[in-house]
Amino acid sequence: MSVYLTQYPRKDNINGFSSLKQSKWNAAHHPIVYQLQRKDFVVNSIVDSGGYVKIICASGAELNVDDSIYLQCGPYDSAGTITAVSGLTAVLDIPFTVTAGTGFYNNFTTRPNYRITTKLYWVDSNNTYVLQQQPVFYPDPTGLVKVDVSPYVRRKCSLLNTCTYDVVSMAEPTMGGSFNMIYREDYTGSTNNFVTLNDPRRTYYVNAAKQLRDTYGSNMAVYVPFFDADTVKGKFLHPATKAVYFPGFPFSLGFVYSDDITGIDITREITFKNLNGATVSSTSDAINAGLDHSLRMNHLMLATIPAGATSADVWLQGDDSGTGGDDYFDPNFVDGYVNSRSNTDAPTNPA
Amino acid sequence: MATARLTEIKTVDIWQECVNNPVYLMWYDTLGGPCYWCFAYKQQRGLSTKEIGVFIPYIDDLETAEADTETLGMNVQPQLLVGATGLTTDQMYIIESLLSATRVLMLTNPDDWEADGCKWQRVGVATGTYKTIRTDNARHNIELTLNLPRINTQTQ
Repeated sequence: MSVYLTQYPRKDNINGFSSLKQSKWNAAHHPIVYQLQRKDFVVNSIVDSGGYVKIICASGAELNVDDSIYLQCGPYDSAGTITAVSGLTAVLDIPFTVTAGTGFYNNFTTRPNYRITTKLYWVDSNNTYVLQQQPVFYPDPTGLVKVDVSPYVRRKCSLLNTCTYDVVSMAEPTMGGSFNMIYREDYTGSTNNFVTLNDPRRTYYVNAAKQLRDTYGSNMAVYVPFFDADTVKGKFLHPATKAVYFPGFPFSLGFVYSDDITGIDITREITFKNLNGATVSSTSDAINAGLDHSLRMNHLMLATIPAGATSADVWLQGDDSGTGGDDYFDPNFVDGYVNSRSNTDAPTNPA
Repeated sequence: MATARLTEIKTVDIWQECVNNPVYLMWYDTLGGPCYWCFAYKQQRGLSTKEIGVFIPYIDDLETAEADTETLGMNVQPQLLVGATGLTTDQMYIIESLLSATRVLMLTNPDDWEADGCKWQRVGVATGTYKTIRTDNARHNIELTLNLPRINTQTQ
């Protein structure tokens, strides 16, 4: 296929992290866009031919007189028509200005009805990909296709509260999750296959809406926990600096159980303090882990409040020195994704 | 490394005042996180009623007729006026996220939720213009109206 995925719905090089960090977590109520670029045939160079552009193409180029094309090469960015052909070179009706190096052209005449057919998958609680929709996307005149999966992601979102408040942590399935997509280039007469369903193209979402001028825009990077020695840490999903707990009533803090912390031992740490700021007691409890918890928005409950405590400092601590926090995940899960059906980390590919 | 902190250290203030007549609400803020607040001490209950329509029955005998108009039915919306005083600016941000929430739940069994499980009921926060934070004050007050589930009535 001659279509290239040029942009993923993620933020790279998040500020404050010393190593390369990516956040693939998006707020569901904003566009979640994969950008693809149609590039039918390679142009090796452009020379002058009687004041008009002459393209010299790589082998495989489809060139016929009167073909309607789009050219992007050096400073040239326009539609045109082929006026003369000779082997792998063609003269266009675009005026020549300067010579140019490599680029591409799209041929609308030999590849009409161009579209990108996609398959969108949602990951269920058994870590299995479930096909959701097969929407078709059309490019703009320059061959750019924007695949926005957010309308389909929002269909999996709803504002339900199913927490039972009797465990350390619990996932809320309708408030966050994971999507993936595969695509195929189609035009009249094409016989392409879909690309492989693999983890680097996976995206994650929270049932959230971000605001104008928010750091990282609609990406949830500020709220994503990373297993990292850096000083900038993922925030809890809460509107105020301090939360308020009413004793005797259900309470939880929301956190993103991100792809970066699956597979390590995670504990909830609480330090209870009295009115003077002195520590009353501390507690450390393992959170509830598992396929149906991770990669979602989770509730984090508080422990029993000791007498004399007027505030509690709460955070999540990670430890990767064990054999893995969970039977379902390999400790190497954090470092890289492997596209293999035999790998128990990745969601099961559909039959 | 073997161990690292994954998240920020979130301070949770433990409410020290005694709570009676609790109205306990839960909602998700715009970031998708669960939030809670308890409006306690006193609330004002009220009813907002409206006739669906009236009809004028034919009167056979003016001397013995029971009515000259009849109501088709009633729309009854119970309301609860709740409030909180002396909130810090930071706590008011929690209340602001309540006022902005798309879906708000009220705990209907505050006395036995631990044994029977939480029984949440959806309520509506009345929309309108709210004055939340006066920037030169350290403490703020808020009053808001909750629309409780409508009362079903007979129609005729």
